[in-house]
Amino acid sequence: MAIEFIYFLNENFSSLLQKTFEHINLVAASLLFASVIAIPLGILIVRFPAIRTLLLKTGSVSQTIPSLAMLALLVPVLGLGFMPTILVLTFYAIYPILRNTYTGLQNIPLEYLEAAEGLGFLSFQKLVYVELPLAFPMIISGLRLATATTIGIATIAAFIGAGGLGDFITQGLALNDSSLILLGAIPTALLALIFDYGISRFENYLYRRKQKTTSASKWKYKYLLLGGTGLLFLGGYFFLNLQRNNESQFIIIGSKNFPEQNILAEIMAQLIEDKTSLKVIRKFNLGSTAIVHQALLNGEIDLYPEYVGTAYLTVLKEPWDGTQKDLFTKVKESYKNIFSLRWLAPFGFSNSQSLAVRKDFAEANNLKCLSDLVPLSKNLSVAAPPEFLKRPDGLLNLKKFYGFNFRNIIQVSPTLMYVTIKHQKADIIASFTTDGKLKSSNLMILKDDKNIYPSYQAAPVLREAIHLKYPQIEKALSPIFGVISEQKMIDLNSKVEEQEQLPSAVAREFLRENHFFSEK
Amino acid sequence: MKNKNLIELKNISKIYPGRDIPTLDNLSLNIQEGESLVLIGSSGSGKTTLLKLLNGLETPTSGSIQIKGKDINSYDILDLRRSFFGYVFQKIGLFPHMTVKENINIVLRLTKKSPKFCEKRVCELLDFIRLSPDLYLDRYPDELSGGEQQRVGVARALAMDSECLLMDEPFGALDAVTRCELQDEIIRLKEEFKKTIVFITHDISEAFKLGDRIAVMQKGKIEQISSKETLYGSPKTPFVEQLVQTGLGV
Repeated sequence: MAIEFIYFLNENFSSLLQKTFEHINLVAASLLFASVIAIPLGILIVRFPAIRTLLLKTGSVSQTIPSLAMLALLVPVLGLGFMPTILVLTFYAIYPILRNTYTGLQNIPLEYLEAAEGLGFLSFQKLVYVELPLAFPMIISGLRLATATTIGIATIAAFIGAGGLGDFITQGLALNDSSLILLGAIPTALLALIFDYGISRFENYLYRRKQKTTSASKWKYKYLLLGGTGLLFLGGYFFLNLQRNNESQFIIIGSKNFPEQNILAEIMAQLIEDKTSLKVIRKFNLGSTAIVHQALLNGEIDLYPEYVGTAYLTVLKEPWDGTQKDLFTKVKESYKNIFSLRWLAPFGFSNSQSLAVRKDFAEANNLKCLSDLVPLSKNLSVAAPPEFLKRPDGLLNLKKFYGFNFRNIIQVSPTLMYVTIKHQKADIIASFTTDGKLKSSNLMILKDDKNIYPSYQAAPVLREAIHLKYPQIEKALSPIFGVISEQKMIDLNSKVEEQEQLPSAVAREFLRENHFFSEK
Repeated sequence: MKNKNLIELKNISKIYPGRDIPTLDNLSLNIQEGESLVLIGSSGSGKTTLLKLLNGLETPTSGSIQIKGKDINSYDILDLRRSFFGYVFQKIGLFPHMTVKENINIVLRLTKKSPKFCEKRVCELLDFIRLSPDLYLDRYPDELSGGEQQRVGVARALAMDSECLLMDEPFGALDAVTRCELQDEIIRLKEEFKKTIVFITHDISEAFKLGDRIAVMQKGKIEQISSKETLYGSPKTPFVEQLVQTGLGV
């Protein structure tokens, strides 16, 4: 186990370094911005009590907003990636620094302030020479607090494609791979410790009592040092951004956060890399449909695999009465007209939805299709992803067309559904029909005998502008149009979900054995 | 030699908002150049307020203050605090994050004196207060005894070579032996530099030791202002008499 983990580390070392660097960059930039905002604000509210209560109260309330919810709310406004993450992180870091700056300044013993006034300090001089230095330890402890929180919260950056160590965690969650989760979580914790130690050393350095100091300019050096460190971070941040924008001919492929999406995105990425000269940037595991679709509209990604039914119901918000036909043509038309997005040909399979139960349970109760389950449903509980509760083709239609009425519904992430049913915490799961875990978990899909689910054919969705600019993309992808059957997809999914192979490896193997790669 | 008035206070009243009784009640006082004037009185008699009026930390509700014959408002108040008055505080108020040297020359630095000058001045002052520059320059206040701290406090007040020293119960927190030493320093200071000193205390023996004139304050008024001999020989009010007697242990 230990040795395996070392191999695992070795394998992922270079990406670990990169993600750590991204993480540090996110944290440092946010803390810098937060300090630049919070410290002057703290100075201000000491002098203007009118805004003090307001700011401190709203500040402390703001800390209770869940960061993920905040991020999700900001995505439609600010898009994906670095900036919205920085914004959210900065937002959370402001309050501890602000509060400590205020407290530090407020608690300076009166004698020093009186002395400064009696000696004829200007109020600015009093601030710089007396108040700030005396409040400094308090401000630093606020910064340490903010740092610890920011490093933790920064892991959510992965949900909107800003990178960082959270990438490992989200990948790990999506693939149910605890090594990957640890690969993200342990360095995050270490980073928090290292940062904390670093800041305390930094504070000691500033407060070290040197017997031979060039005293007159000592504080000048300290401020210079602080400013310099700030500039360094800022520089690093812009450098990083510059680097990202400097690649000329590229296509950004995105995906939602589950294995099938990763595999399909990888297959497309490797085909494009093989057959065109375009550079592929992978922004996988972005999150739910809403986030990935928004990213496509904003041009933060150019291409991702989508399902016809999802597009029809979730994106276009068309009503579904269980009878419409030929959704693909309708969706393709609407996407073109409304969004300027292009649906390429479907991969071949349909990843529809249905309910699954344990095989022994199905046999005991003689269950074959959904209608068989209805009479039992009021004593059964369902584990389902959050989307299931809200989507018209989920719970709503199950109630409407079949008359299901479940005892209770447990909201879990897609990957955790199987754990839930395995431990008999739920009797039914809302499963996808191509799910790789169905087989090994001994689950049985119940047939949708009333055909209430729309078609969930999967196909690449591409920005029209990119299609016109790089027509070679469609051509590069054409070998896989219509060739991935449902059984094949279950097979590929199972390799990732069950055998814990990497999506990239599974994609490569698939392309290779079907001779889709160009002959060298 | 007829003494010139350095500072004149005329009909000064100070009423803090929300308080019924005036802290200073129609008080007039002349401070002569080169004298040491001791203000004595119980807590709340208005001594500190009077001192703070002089360098503009407080402003009078009514009445006028003249410094060298000119109204206080015609001066730049920061300049007055830095160069005309030196202030020694009861709580000493040395900045804990600065060394002895930095504490003493902070005002020099604020007024943009050259580093060379600052260095020289600090050494002079340390010599004067009998703390060896080699040993004390780079120490921090918490590495000094109480007496040493207040010596540095005095040095800080002297840094700008101000004409007038305002001392607000500077030795109140010190032990008897140290206090006695520092009182001797003040006498030496007065003789050597001919400074005008306004000194607050509530210790009558300290007042007798240091004051050319002693002003006894009570409830915002000066009960009597005179030399210690007169104060002792012919007290004007029962309060003065009682103060003098209890103070001397008679």
